[in-house]
Amino acid sequence: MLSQGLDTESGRELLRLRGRNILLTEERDALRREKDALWQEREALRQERDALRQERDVLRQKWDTLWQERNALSQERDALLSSTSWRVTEPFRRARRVVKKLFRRGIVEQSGEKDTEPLSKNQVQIAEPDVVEPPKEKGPDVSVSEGTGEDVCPASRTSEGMNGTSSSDDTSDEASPAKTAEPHFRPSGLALEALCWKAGCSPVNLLEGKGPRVSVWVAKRGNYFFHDIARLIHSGFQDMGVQSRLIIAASEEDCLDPVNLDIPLRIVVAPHEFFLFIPEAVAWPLKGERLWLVNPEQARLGWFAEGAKAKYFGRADLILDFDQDNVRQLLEAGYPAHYLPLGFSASCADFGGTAAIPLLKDTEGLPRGTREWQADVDPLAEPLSDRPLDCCFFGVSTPRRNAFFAQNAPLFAELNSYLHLQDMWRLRPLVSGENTSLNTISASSIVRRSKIALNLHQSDNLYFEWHRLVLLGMWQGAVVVSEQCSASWPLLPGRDYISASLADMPAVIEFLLKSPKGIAQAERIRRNALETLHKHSMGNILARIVREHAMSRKEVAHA
Amino acid sequence: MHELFAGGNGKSAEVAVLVFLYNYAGYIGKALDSVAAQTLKAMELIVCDDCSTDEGPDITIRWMKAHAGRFSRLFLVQNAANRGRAATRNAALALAEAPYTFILDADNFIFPHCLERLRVLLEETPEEVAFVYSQSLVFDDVNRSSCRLENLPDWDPLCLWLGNYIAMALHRTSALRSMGGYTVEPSCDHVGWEDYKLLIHYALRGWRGVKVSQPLMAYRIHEGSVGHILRGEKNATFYQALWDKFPELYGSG
Repeated sequence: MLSQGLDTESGRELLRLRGRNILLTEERDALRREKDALWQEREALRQERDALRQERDVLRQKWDTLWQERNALSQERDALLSSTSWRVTEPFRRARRVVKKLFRRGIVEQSGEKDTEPLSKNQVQIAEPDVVEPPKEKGPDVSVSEGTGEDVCPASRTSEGMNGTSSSDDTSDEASPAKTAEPHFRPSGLALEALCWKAGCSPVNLLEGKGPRVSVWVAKRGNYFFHDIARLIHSGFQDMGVQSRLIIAASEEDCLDPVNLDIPLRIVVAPHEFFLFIPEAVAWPLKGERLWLVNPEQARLGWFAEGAKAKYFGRADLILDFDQDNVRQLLEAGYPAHYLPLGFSASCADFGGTAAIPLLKDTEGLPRGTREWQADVDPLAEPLSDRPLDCCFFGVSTPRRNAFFAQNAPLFAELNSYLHLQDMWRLRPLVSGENTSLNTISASSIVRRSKIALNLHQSDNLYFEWHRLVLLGMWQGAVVVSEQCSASWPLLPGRDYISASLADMPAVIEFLLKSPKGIAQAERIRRNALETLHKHSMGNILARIVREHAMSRKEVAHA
Repeated sequence: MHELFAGGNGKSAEVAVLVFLYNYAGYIGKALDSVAAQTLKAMELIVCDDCSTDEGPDITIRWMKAHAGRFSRLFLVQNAANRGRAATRNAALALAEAPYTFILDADNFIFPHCLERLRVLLEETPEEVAFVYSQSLVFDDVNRSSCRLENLPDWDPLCLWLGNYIAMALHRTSALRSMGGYTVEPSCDHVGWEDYKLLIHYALRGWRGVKVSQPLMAYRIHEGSVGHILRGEKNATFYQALWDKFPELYGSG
């Protein structure tokens, strides 16, 4: 019928549209050319800016070194002048000057002897600089493993001894462009202990002291679930009794705010996003502060290559990763890395899940009874079977997941299910209120009302999706049914969650929901999971990492 | 329009299911079975045939005779002449008595909990919500590998700019009637314009829809399906014409 309609209006309309199409194509090509030119110009300006920055950093470094030298010399001079020995020996020096003058006038001139003044032992000690110079020798090449027992975090290893430097050297590798690509690490763990032992001192925890000791950074325009992870780490430090500050940064100005800059430990969550949105932060000034990066991404998604290319890996004192394979890859590439499982934090209220599900675009399709279902503070208080939703899933829509849900559509239509599949065409950072109405509170509230939380991988990669399995699963007291995942201490399949192939998953779901034996199994497993999470709290996990990596030798010297 | 079959148990219905039938003899049985299998009990079923040339009406009559007791009211009516989807659906709508109306094409089907869940939700939502819809299973009898879960976007008039994305939904009967049903324009019938224009009219009048994040419907892809036709060459022209027709929503084309 449409073609008939067009036939009656004949080719005029078609010609008009074709003509319009040609004009628009030309316009588009012109805009593209203009864009390319602007792009090139921008690249040139960027290069110029980077060169200027490097130059600025070199000058800053020189300035800092000279300033430190001057201060050291001033202190030395002051110490010398105010020392008792200096005052006591003053008459002798005066006498010696007089004698020297006499010698110079005649007697000594004949012998030709030089004026060489031997220094006392005491003077030699005073002459040593107060500031500990960075040791230039290669540190001990030690890899430390705490073992692989159940209660010991596996892959808690560090690559050490690349360059043992004091914190005053933080910007030194930027002074020399040739060195920027070189990883630049401080000794930590056993290596640090060894160095301290040799120097006759003991390491001091950087996080001990007044005021905020940790700043946790995340990009404001980043995915909301990376904000969740930042909040959790921030809460973990607070649970440890360490004063922490959460900074959701939007621009370079935020990064340069002096209030935040002298906090000893700087932790950047999701650096692939952070340095993308705030590229200037790659050259972030570090004057003694430690920089740790927290990677929540799968290595295959390009973050690894990006981190090495953009050189922020090289500036990090430690890279924390949720995946043990990623940690191994980082260590093999020479970066200091540590496995970071996500644990429970009672002070992280966003994951409470008890609030009624807010009425949002993404949740309006839930029945009122489900949205307003009263959840107890304790997710284990009520039996799983009382929860109104049977199962839920949150994730990006991929062909693999789509095929699974399509194949099993009759089952998910029968169950009270909630499948939140984020469309690929919206695949950019999920910002609550912009391209998704969901936020942490609403998502956790939905899981809090679900019996089963599903986990399906995006692809064939077995990456353990911590956010989905733990924060939007076990933490909410739902039983997690997941595809097989890579090993992720301290959580075990069969004990803390149920592992099943995609083919078996529908039967597993029905068994857990409909069979008395399955219902009992689900109860047991969700209780195990919460127990494991409580046992390995975020505070405990971070404390273990801090013990090994947030120790400093320099502070000992100052002390 | 004349009546080919009438029946039912005479009880009041909560949902009316309107089925448009035109040469879908191969599919109508599955569609009707899926309606009969609904967990919702109080339903009326109105099938309107647009002068099919195949056995569709005969199959429907036989099926209705076998399932007459399942429905509050049961009709098979037939247009006097082929009038297109919009006019046929409007004819069926005129017969509906239930407060909610589900529009089903004879080549698609719905899962057993579909109407019950959609009805509960529509009852609970505010009055400005004219319809509720859900994720859909999109399937192809020939090419099974092309089956997918269609995760339809949330209701957003701006998304309509990209095309119609809601094919099946449960409507408030009063909302449908307040707009005079579907827009009848013979020149643009048979290609799914009526669904698209209905949604645009909803948007222009401040009505909205709510999505259920669960697959409750199944949409069949085949040579004659609306989606298939809309993906054809006429697409660009179709949308251009539509944008020109609704400058309030899209600006000038």
